[in-house]
Amino acid sequence: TVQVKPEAYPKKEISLWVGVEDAQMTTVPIYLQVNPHMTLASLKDMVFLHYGFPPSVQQWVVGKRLPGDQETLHYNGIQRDGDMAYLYLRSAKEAKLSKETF
Amino acid sequence: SPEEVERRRQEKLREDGMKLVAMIREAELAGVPPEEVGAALRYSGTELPLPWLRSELPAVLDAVVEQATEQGAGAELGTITQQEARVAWTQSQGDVDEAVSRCLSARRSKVRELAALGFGERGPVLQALYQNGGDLWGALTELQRLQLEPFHRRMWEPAEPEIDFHA
Repeated sequence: TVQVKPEAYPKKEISLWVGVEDAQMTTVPIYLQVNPHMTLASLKDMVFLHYGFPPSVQQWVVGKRLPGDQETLHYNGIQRDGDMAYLYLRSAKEAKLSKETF
Repeated sequence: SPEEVERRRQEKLREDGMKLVAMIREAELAGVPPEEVGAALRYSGTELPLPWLRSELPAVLDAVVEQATEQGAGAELGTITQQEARVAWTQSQGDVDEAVSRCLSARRSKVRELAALGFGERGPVLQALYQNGGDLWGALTELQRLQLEPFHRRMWEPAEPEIDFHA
């Protein structure tokens, strides 16, 4: 039988420090309440819902990695309050988006 | 006889417990947490906590909101919301005075926490808290959204014009 260690699945939400950046080289730090077991795809949806940035312009950076959409935050090393990530916002043009599509 | 007294005491415990369990079961079906049933019973002694919560609680919460808002005015804690009053009233098991002070100390710590995150200007902070029913993360999200406004502007901007080397 497979036993799941309880500590491997903390239900608790944590506060993630996020440095928001774009081509202008300014960082605006914000905090997001996240569950470490959410995938990058659902994180992008959440950020779209709360902040209006379409998923396709969001390039997340965790440590030295560009995490894939199906990976979890936890898989990328995000585990506790105060852990950090960067959100680089591509320009809508680069992401081939137009306002009409949103 | 002492045995008889003891028997009755136990019988009463059982009956009261059963009654309360029935109330909690009914409340759960209506989406009302047990704590609110308990608070309603403590506050009003009603036999029918569910209808009481529906018809009488709003006025009680209004009173909590009013008193807390008034008492917090000096410390600039803003207008307390019904949602905050409800949480505080439930936590204090129906005690209005305790609910008022719980509202205020919760507000104080939210304001302090938002200030620590860089939102020290009281006006926008109190407005964000009010609009989010006193929810800290909701308020923080709203304040941060305003902060990220310039990113939205830049995102939709046409790309920088190409440098004209012949100029």
